[in-house]
Amino acid sequence: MPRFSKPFQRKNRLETRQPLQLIFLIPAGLAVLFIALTFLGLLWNIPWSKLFNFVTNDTSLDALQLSLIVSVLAAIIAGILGMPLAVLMNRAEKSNNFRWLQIIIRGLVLLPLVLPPVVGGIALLFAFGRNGLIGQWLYKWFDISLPFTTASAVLASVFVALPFFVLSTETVLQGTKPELEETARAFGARGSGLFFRIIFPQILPGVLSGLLLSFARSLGEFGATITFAGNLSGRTQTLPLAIFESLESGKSNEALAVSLILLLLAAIILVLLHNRWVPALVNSTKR
Amino acid sequence: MKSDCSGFNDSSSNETPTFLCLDGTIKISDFQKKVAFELKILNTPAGNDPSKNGVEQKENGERRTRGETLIIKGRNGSGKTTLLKTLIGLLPLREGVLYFSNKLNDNKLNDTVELLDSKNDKVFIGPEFRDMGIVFSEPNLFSFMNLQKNVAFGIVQKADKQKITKKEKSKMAMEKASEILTQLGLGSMLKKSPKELSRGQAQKVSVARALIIEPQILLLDEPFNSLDMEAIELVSELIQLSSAAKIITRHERLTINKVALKEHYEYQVDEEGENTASKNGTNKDGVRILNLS
Repeated sequence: MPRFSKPFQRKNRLETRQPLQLIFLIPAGLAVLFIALTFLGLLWNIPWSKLFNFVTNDTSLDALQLSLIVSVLAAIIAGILGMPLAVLMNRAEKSNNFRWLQIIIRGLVLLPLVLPPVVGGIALLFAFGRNGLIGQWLYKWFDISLPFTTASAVLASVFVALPFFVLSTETVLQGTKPELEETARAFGARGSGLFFRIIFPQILPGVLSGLLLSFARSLGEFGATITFAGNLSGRTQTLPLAIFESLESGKSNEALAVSLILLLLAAIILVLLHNRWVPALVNSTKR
Repeated sequence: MKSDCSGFNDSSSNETPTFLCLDGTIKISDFQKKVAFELKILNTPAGNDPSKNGVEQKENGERRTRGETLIIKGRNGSGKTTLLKTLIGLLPLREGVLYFSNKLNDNKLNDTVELLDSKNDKVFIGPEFRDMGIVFSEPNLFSFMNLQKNVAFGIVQKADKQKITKKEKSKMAMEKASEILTQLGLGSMLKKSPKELSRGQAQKVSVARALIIEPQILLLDEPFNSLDMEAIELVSELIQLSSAAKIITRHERLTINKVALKEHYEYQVDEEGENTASKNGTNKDGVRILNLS
């Protein structure tokens, strides 16, 4: 009778992959543990009994409302400005013309992605502030002064969120099928009709997740906002700024409670991004 | 085959009128190839109509006009698809001219000779103004539209001659699409997404999308590749019913097309035409062969 050599003596006969090695398991476990413990620390210290009071006081509610308004506006503006930009960048890349200009524009658009937001805030201040390069003329001619207004908070958020939208949209644009575009052209589609009937439906899921990413980025925006828009309750004090102020003035319980709001919002965005909700939304609009 | 398109403009009534004439150079990846052919209009007595039961017969036993068929043969990479794309206007000619005349639809339109594409004359008419329909070798259905909308696409897009509102046009297109899909045995799947189709079914829809616009020239890039025998019969019959001139590509030796069209003319081409007219020639039945390789 033949004796099977060791490799065949697996616990699960159908498992064909190599068993996991300890050298991977330990760092991977540490990474998960690190993140999980961090959140546990937050949840552990949240004043659950007084949570309702902290969350529903005027400062928190104002900040929540402002955060939502600013983030939604920023996401929409990033979408309106970013979509044509992504389309043009995608076209230019295919055509291979003006290489240097492409590189400059790409660098410019993506710079805020890696730039410390505080630097972005400073830049915004010296560009659009009352004495700024553009801001002085805005003030002189139109009597517009941007800093310390809700508009400036939106502007700061757009500045940091735009690269997220452009990147996400450009990625899906690269995935569109050129043969479908060709077919549509053969059947008489052209110009904007070609875009809205053939290309846009293909990139819609990516555009939606780009909007969500921009929204999420705006929701967490701190550095550029506090530098350019300041920290005025009800006008520019978004949720992260409210947390910062609570912590500064020793009200750590309030800071924890408001943090919980942001944590929940982040979780919702994550579910929307990764679950089937977004594709499902896209499908349901089709039928 | 006459190739310089010179006699294209003088309409001597005795000769069968030329319908499409190409004399030019196309670019295939990194080399250029000179291609020349012309398509004529056929006058067949209505009784001998290849389309069965005289579906398209004219009254009073008049003669019926239909376009010739051109079969483009050639190896992989010999430029068959490139040629079709050039004809429909997705790619420009490198050199030479492409003429097109509206004589096929004799009374419907004026007898205009149109220069579609010429580098020297700086003329290029886009695909939206060329009265042609195309079936690619891949179905290329729009995955985000249902089948009915896919088929109706061409009518909705094309600039139309009749004065009807957009709403009427799209309603008419949808009705027509459902009709033609039913003919192809896909009547129960009008609202389905192309993702739910098999490859062969998708190919049928792609043929329907080209047929529905009733083009004067039908460009078929190996249209029977993924169809089963039954579907081939059905589709080739539908293609036959169209009075359009047909330009069909196929591999050097592809028996399935032979089966598909043998009832009508392909068989004769292969049995007789192959010997007598294998080199860019024409056979008696209004079928020309263009060998690209």
